[in-house]
Amino acid sequence: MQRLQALGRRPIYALVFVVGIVAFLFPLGLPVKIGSDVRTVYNALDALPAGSLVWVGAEYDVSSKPELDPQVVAIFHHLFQKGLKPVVYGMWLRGPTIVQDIVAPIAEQYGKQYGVDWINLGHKPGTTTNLRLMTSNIMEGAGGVDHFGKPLADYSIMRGVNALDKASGFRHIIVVETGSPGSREYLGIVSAEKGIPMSVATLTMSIPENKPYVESGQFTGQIGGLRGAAEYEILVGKPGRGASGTDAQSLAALLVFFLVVIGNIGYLTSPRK
Amino acid sequence: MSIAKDPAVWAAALGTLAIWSFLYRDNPIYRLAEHVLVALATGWSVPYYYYSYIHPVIKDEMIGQGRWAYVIPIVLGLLLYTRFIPSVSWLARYPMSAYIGYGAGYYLAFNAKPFLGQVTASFVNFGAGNVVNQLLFFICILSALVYFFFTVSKEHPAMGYASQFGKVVILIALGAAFGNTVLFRYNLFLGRLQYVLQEWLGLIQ
Amino acid sequence: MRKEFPMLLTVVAALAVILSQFFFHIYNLGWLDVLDKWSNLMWAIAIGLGVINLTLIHGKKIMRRAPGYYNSIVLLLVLYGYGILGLITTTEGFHHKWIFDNIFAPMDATLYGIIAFFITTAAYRAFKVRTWEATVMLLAAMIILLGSAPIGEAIWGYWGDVRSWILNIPNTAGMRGIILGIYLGGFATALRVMLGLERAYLGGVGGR
Repeated sequence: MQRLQALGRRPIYALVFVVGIVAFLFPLGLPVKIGSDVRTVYNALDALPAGSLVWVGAEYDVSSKPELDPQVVAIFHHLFQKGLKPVVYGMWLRGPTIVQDIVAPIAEQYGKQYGVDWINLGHKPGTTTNLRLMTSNIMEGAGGVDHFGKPLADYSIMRGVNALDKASGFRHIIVVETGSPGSREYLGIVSAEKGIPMSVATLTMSIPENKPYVESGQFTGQIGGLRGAAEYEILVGKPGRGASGTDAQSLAALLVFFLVVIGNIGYLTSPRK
Repeated sequence: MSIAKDPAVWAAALGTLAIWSFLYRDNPIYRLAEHVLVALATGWSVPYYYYSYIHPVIKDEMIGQGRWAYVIPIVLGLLLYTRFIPSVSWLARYPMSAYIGYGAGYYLAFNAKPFLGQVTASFVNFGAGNVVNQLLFFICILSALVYFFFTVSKEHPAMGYASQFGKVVILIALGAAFGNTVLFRYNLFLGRLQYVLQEWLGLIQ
Repeated sequence: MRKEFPMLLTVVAALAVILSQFFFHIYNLGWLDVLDKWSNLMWAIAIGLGVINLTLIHGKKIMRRAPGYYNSIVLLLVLYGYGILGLITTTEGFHHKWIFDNIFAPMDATLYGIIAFFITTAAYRAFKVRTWEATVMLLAAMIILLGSAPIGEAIWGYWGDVRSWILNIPNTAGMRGIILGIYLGGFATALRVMLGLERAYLGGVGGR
């Protein structure tokens, strides 16, 4: 029994691979129940009148793509279905580039035109200082150009949009975040100052630390990790990578659970305990 | 099973395998991949900044609109490069100090509202929901705060018990964070595994 | 001049934000917009620091023929090659984007993903019921772990509800305690910087 806690590093690694492969080859097809945090985000966006501007903070990097990309896909399906107008911006260097690649084909599906129905302001240097500048003057904050370096004045969506505030038509903020800078900066600099409600699309890891903000009402809700993506996919009727990922996630969770259990059995039966 | 013919998929898959090779042991292929990764990350950011900010701001705003005051931040930014010249490296303190001071000012100016929002939300409106849960939440948060009172003696039984209970509450929160972190890391790994099985090897639909 | 003036600059920069944010009339002067723009420009100009730093570090390694110096040669070739290509074609240019999408992005995501392996072995080796505190943490972690994936609810219908309860009650309370502590710590540090009590950042470069 004591040998149960003496498994080597490599057999465990091999087990992780095997479980992952099995999970994808033989999907369990387990149903996903929709949680209240995700539903509140969905309801908040769903209640917005068509044509409202929604600011999307692309605050992540390629390292978090497997978790956050499916969320972005589901969110943009919803935004375009409802006729909302997303404005993408990123304090993170590569966030807007990633989101651009994801959103362009979705926009095409819905016949949405870049610069008319949605726009990508890109990443601009300065992180928090530039975010604040956006709340005062988007033209200044963006350096007058979009993600592609083209003048903002050329895009019809930007007509009458002077700042990240209610007066310009912004009704909701969604922060797709990996860490800092992210939702906390948006909360302090934008949401609390300008009174625009905000939601967070975040990593599984960040769900517990965001909970106090959801509970306090400072965040409308949160879409957490791959499961959150799967829940949102169900709500918008577009099953995708979130759903298939949570299936594999289930077996991975079981593996870790069993490893911890056998490690503890080994420990409890060890005379050197 | 139909292996991909697209060189893009092969490049992505081989890059993935190069990183995974570290799991067996540290090896030259992993080292090479690591160096390439750092180089690409840095090599990407310079042209992006140039085209999406530096070029339009200097060309259109500074020169085009005559905003010559931009020379001040540009000179300050350039002073950061004196770090590499030992005799004048102290000049880099100027922009650093401005950054740090500005950042400190930002923290003080923009975090008061979120902080107060958290404080006020801790005063539970009893009766507006499940009273047992509300009461428990109130006790939990009070205890968690007592645990962090390092300036107050915990010798009094009330403070001692509250602090002990607060410790349990914080441990549960940390346990929740750990459980979620494990799943998060798996999701990243499974995302890559899915790519290899689906896009490269064609084993799954 | 070498330390006093930078310290003064710190205080002035911090005060500029605070005064502008807390006094309506000063806010209306629009200082913050100008300073934000300046700060962003400074930030943008600093983008070359990383390139110079990498060049110096790896250049030295190559000159000394240090172990693995050939990797440094590759690094510098890729760094300058990729950077110059981007300056010619922009980052949206076909080849530049191809490299980003098919080499950089997959490798970076994989690098972060391999932590799953280390965290699994760490959980197996270290997550033991040694004390009652460790047991509490372990139980919470396992309930959340299984409850966050659909498998929890497949095993027991109420698993998801238990997970939600843990996240909503003890987790929210515990996290809020930590969050309040972080805010207070942040305020104290920012205040120390502003008052000139915190000067570690001045020691980061050479000279007196």
